[in-house]
Amino acid sequence: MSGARNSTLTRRSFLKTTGAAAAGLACVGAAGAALSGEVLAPARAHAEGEERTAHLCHQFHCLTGCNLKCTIRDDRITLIEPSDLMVDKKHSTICLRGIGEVAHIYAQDRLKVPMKRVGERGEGEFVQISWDEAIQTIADNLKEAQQKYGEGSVFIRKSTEAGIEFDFLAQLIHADSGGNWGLDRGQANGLGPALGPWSYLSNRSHWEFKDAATIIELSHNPLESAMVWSRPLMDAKEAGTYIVTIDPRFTGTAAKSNEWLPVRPGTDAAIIQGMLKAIVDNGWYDEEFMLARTSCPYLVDRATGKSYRSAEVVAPNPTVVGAEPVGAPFVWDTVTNAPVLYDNATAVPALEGEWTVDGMQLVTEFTLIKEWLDTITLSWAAQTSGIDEQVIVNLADRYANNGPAIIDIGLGGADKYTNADVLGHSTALLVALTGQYGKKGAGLGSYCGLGSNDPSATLNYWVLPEEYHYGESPVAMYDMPYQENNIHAALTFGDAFTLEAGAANDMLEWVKSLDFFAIVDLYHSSAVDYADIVLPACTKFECEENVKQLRDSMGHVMLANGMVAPLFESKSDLQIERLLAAQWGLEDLLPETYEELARFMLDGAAELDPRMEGITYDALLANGGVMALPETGEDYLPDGLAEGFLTPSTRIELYYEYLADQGHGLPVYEDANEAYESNPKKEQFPLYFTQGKSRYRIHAYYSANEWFQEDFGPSLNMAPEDAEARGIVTGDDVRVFNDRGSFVATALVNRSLQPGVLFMAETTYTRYYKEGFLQNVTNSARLERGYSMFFGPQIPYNDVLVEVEKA
Amino acid sequence: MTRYGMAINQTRCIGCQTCAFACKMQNGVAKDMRWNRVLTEGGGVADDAQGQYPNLTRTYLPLACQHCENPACLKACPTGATYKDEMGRVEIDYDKCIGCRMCMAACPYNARSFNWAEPAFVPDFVYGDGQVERRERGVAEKCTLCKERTDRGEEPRCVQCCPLDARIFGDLDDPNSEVSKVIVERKARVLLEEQGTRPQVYYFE
Repeated sequence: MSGARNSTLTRRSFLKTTGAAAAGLACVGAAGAALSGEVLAPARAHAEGEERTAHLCHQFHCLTGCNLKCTIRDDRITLIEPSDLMVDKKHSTICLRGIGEVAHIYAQDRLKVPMKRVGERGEGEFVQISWDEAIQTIADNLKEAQQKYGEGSVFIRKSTEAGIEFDFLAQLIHADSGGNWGLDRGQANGLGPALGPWSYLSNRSHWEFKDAATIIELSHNPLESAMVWSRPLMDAKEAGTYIVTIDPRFTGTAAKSNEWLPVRPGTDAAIIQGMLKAIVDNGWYDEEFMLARTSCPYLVDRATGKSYRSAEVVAPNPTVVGAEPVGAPFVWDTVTNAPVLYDNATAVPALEGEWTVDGMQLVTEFTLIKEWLDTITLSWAAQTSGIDEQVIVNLADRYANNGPAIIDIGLGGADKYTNADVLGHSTALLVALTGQYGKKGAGLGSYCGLGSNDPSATLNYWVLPEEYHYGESPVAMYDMPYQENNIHAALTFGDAFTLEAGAANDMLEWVKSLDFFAIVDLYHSSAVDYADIVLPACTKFECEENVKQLRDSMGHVMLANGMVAPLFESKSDLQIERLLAAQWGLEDLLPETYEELARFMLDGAAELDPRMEGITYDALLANGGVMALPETGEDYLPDGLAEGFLTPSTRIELYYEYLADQGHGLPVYEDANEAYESNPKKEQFPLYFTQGKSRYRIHAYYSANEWFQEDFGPSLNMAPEDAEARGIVTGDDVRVFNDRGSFVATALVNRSLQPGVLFMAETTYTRYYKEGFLQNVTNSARLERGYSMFFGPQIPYNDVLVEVEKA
Repeated sequence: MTRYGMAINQTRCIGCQTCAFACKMQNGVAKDMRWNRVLTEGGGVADDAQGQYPNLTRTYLPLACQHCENPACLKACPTGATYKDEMGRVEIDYDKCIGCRMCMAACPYNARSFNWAEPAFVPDFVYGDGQVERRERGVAEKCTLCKERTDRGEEPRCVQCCPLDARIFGDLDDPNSEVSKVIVERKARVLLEEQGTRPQVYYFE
């Protein structure tokens, strides 16, 4: 299971090892085994059987959504390759996760039959039951909970890789759907008020990477998280773009970069603030951009911290946080020497200054920014982040003065610390002061496949009658163990409880306290052992009918077709939802089949959007299930501009008045909750514990793939210094622990780790660990001000200190 | 003449292992066996780094049969099971293989695997290209340069599936083929040149 198995060879050792230890991983016997008659058997014949092909859109959680061509022989998926139906050939893509489905679909850890629990919750003891009994039991328990405790006592959530294009049952019975997800929007919380709530996604195509002079990969590792999207970055590298990666770990992306900044975990904002300091002190900012596109000249009342706004004229948009209309901001006009509305065409606004109006001391936002930056020093930034002062200054120089420049942020990584909003807010300032936005080769956001890489389709969404809708979600799922709530019964499609919450001991104790919990899943995931009833879902390659999901990906509309029958006793999500809905007599409100759903989604779409002309159900099937949108192609490079932001004034708004009372009107630095150098807790738990993507998984998905298991299991990467200090070598079982819990994993001693920092691929199923699992040590702290942010407080999975010892 | 070969761009190779699994799938390679591996140079574990922190580097080395012009395996094979075919590929006639593994000892690239036991398959059915001949206990096996696909005029599966377009396949005897041009222009090298095997798989940065 360890990386040692897929052992690497130096040039020298691969000479030395010729002979006895040849390439075959299975070649474990000594050379020289005797020949016998048996080994002279003739080779087996070729495969026989009728072949057909099928096409479908694959994974969405790597944010790619490749169309795959599958060869099906004897009703088994035997071969998976890039689609031959993509109009835009650069989107004819695949990676190991698509190919590996050949093993993953048929993995031994698939859930095969409906089951009910016979042991204690958590023990994983089940017996097979019929679908009828399983469905009846779930319905009875959900109904009972709602009768006893009210509608809001039932929690239903669909998580990763469930049939996410519909979610009927939760609405039919007004269930609580769990509120904020708390996943990977920490920086987005900090960027949103400045550039709009969706600004964490780039508004330009990542195929523009090669047009940038400088790219900063900020806590983003596309080369391992979404391999298919790493081509534009490598194209840029070959074109001579200077790439800098800021990451605690020497990631795949860091290894391909010109420069790697091994930032201390949870301190990325200190680097960005150091850059801001250097940019302002050296006058490297772009005044023209700041005046035209940002709130830098807007006026703020120094005494109250309130922005100075019109009482009569309303700004074009409501605020991002609060969704309330606000007055239009004022700027100081240097011609009339008076405040005027921000969009006054004849005014010449001041960028800096302080004036008295009606007894108020008004200053520009930029003046406040400069005053704030006067309170920090480069040496502080360097000490906090672990990155040398001069390196920070050089990066600032490169970013501000050697454009066009892109900041490509990861969704994950730096988001998983409580102070991630400070990072997002700081980055917004960096972009606003330098104007590296809205022009060819310049931009900000996650260049991840969402956003503006490809045109998107217009589809109808199946809407239930008005009386059917989600119930209230007064407490986010991840807070349910900690905050009073009325949940007594739960049904999850996929493993919500261990994937979408930290501190698993708390969460699973709470799950154990529920009256009832049922799970619909594909594989024996970590939460399965805690369920009372387990339903086996089929994969996206299987269906009761020929077609399945209709999706919009990579500028193409894709209808999954040519499906194989559900394996074992599994069923599709749609049929499972229909069986459940029937228990309330409501199944007729749902589509009967995926065909009906797909037809509905497409019917009349062209009337709403002429781009959909000709993309009908029948046309799709006639085209193998794939049709391109008209703009799709090599030249699709949208002009995402630096205007029309979803902010009140439609410009980049840097001063966060709603946080001024909490001291965060500007991104005043604060330590993460647990991961910081001076934390006294480090005496007991001296190592930072971080997690992230591996090419072998998306979150926990693909954990059951036995091909991947040949290479990869629950392994803890640690720096040689840290391993040596604890007498640990590669392959050892090690216990990772803190005050929240512990687990045992296999040690991999890897030079790619910063000393003092550990890394594991994100969670996998508990059954693959010798003891416990990774979520036992993760953090459940909440950022209090996060409750007033657009995406709510985020789960600080990486904001974690631990100690490690040999198990 | 046609002499199929390949050039691999190590700058573009991100070590994603897609080619390794594409090969395993295409050729129905058994459990715990790979014809094509992506090694991390110099490290103790996969995805390790070289150098002293924080001045690190990492280079991946995709490695399979090098389809040598002067194959050491061929010379070592006592039965003629290993042969050089008309397209310049090194192939194995499994019916002639007696399982002596002399070829494996001779190959300086550790490119071959051996079926010590009846091969086990996960999943437990015949996956992969239906044209690919299955191997049984007692025979050696290795990359065929996707003989079945290249005979049909298709690229090897590893080339088709590489998410980074890091692999270029073509005819080395055609000076105008992309692979021939890249080898010249990018000063591509071969592995263990001193062995005199004259590989038809090239590497460049």
